[in-house]
Amino acid sequence: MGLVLLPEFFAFLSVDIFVALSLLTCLLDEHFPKALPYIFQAAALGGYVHILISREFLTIFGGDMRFWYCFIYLSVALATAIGLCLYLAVYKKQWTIAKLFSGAVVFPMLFVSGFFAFNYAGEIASTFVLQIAMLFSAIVLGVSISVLLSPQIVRKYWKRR
Amino acid sequence: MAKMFNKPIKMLILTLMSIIVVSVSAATYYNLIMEPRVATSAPTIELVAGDDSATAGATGYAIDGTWARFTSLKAYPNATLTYEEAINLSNTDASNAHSVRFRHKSITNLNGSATPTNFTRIAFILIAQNGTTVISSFNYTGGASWSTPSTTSYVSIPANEEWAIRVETLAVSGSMANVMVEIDMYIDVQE
Repeated sequence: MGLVLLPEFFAFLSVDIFVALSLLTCLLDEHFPKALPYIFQAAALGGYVHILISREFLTIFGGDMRFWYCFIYLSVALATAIGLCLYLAVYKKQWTIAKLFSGAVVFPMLFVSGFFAFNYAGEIASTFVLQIAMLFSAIVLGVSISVLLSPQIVRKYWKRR
Repeated sequence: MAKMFNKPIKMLILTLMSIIVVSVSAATYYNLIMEPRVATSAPTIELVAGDDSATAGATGYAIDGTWARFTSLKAYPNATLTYEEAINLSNTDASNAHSVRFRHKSITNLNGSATPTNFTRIAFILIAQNGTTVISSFNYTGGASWSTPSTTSYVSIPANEEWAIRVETLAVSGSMANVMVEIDMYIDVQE
């Protein structure tokens, strides 16, 4: 039996993205505005309401409409992640952190979201592609995290500050 | 001291909130997946016109292919009248066989209790595409009262085949003119 995705999966993915961004911005609170983690939590809660509304009005909303409002919500979540990266790079001039943030957070998010979007559209149906994509994403994530946690990088970062 | 615990407490609160939000979202999504759905579709076994459908006055089958009504069936006294293809059963499934059976629903005497005494037999016979008689036991027998048929066994119609329902009528010798009976029957289909 194949993987069956509902359009609401994108809303669920967005909830995860917002939750992850909330925790990350709290962890790196010296670089971001203090209210940001709570705003992201509220956005994640909005995603839950999104799924809830979808469930309640399933018979009224068509498949296309459900897909587009969930996909737009996902686009907003991804744009927020990219925005945070740009904020670090352009506004805060924290190039190292921005690069790490893009590698460890933004890239895997874009990759996974893109994969599921293509999968939903039926353009990529092969399980083999899924395995390759997941493996590639995991490698990028692993490398990024190890670079992030390596003492040299941290030391270099503190020296620059 | 308070500032030292500020960040861990914030993290703890946000983590707990995150767990709650993600859990309820996952539960709602799961609930959405598990919700039973019914989708409309065309029937796999359809009633379609046969060579004698017009003569038998078959109507209704063209709407959905799920029901038909014969408005012009006749019964001659002492002579069996046969409608070879009163209506046909078509298996529209290109790859799977589907089973059907005949089941009696009701019989109504439109001319009072004397109605059955004017009829000898009204039979619904299922004929396969190759001409073999598959169901022959679905007979309504007249007399003092109607003898109604038992539900038949299921018979399998192969993919893409069209079978005929033959209707045979016979009235008793010397039967009155314009005596009418109304028969309702089901054709059960196994998906």
